[in-house]
Amino acid sequence: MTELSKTSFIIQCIDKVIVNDKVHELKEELDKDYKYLVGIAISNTNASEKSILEQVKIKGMDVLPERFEASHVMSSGSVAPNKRFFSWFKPVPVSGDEMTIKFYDPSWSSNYNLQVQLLLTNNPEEIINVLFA
Amino acid sequence: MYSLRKIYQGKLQNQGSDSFRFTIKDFKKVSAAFCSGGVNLSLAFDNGKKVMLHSFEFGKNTDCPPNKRLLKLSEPIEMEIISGVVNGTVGTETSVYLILEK
Repeated sequence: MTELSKTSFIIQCIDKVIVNDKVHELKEELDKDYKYLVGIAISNTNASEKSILEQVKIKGMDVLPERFEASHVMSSGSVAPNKRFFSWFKPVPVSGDEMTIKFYDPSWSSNYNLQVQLLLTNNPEEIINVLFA
Repeated sequence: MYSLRKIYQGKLQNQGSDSFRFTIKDFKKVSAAFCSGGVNLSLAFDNGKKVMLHSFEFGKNTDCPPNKRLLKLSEPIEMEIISGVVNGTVGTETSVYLILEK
């Protein structure tokens, strides 16, 4: 079995303080040394289970369907960190492209830091074996 | 490699139940299905002739890795209508997704 430590990957994190129940936009250029986006996770357990990823786009193309429930990419602390990624989408070719995420939490009650974690790799076939093991 | 498709999105009215139909084109297999937590899903393939799920309850458990929270299937499809019913609490917003393969 392929081990995560032996694969070529990076986890890029995008942070944003969520200050109300309106739509927040997160925007960041992806690491240009990696060719594919293969996984998405939201680390923060302060976000409510009703949170919505309104849009997740790269180069104007949807990575996830619009209005995707954030709970599908959130995990509790009992899940191993390298198993917290949602990867049921076609690997997205990237190369320093800008990623835009629109997020909102209808049950927001106090400020918190949202962190979206992106798994980037040059070898999607190799890392898929790890993600789905 | 997979393609993720949303085949239903809605707010449950009418005693917490809603039905949907979706036509799949250009894909040869359904590999998995999942929906928002806390609702029951019924799903039929082959233009309604083959019931795959009957009021299957999807939980809200986040102790399970995200890649393993879906119901794996291996259902060949060819230009067909997939129909379904979602049941839950009135007012619940829910979505149903399929993982498709070419």
